[in-house]
Amino acid sequence: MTPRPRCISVGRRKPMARHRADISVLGASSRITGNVRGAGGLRVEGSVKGEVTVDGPVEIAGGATVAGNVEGESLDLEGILEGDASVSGPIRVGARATATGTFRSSQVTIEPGARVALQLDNDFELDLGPARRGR
Amino acid sequence: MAGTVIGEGLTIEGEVVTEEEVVVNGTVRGTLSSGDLVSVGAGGVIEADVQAASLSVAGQVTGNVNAQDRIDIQAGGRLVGDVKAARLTIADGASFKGNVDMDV
Repeated sequence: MTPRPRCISVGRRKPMARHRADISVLGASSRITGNVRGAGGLRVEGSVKGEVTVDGPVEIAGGATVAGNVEGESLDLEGILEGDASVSGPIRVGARATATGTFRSSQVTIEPGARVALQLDNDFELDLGPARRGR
Repeated sequence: MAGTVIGEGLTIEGEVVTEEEVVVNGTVRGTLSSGDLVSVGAGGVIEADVQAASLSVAGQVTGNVNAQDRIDIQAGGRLVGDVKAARLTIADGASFKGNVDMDV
């Protein structure tokens, strides 16, 4: 019996940038109404109602909500996103995440259990599985 | 580690409401309300009215400040606006312009 695939994945694989010093954090009790933009990465643990535009990785933690469009280097979603995401790197939608909107990225991973109503707009090559990789 | 850190290069325009400590090394425009300490780093800029438990300024704050406990303007820090706080310190080398209400 073959193991069930753990996630749906399309697109090129690219490692996520992590542990950068210029990461901003919007804590769990933080509510922001307005736009967040600028340099570096951003981790949202609270809620943002507005546009998020940064040049680093964006993380929307479990329990966090973003109602607005997100632009960044990559997106790691564990919370709720109501809006479009446009990133140069990968998007990961975690098992407890909720997402509605359009995703533009190099790669999208949607883990089982995630609640999504999405349009995906990706440039990708078909992933032919591990046997064909490393050619 | 503070609950909310607005990093260098990041700008928030709008309303920020939080119960946690806030460190501002970037820019906040609009209003900022925290139930804890707000510290503005040397490169940080707040162009907003601030409501906080206490405020520490090593960067620039333009706006009216209402702190339940205290306001500390550190050397190199700059605050332009009216302040209301139980305690206020202005370090040597700090700049301040505005009215002070210490609720006496």
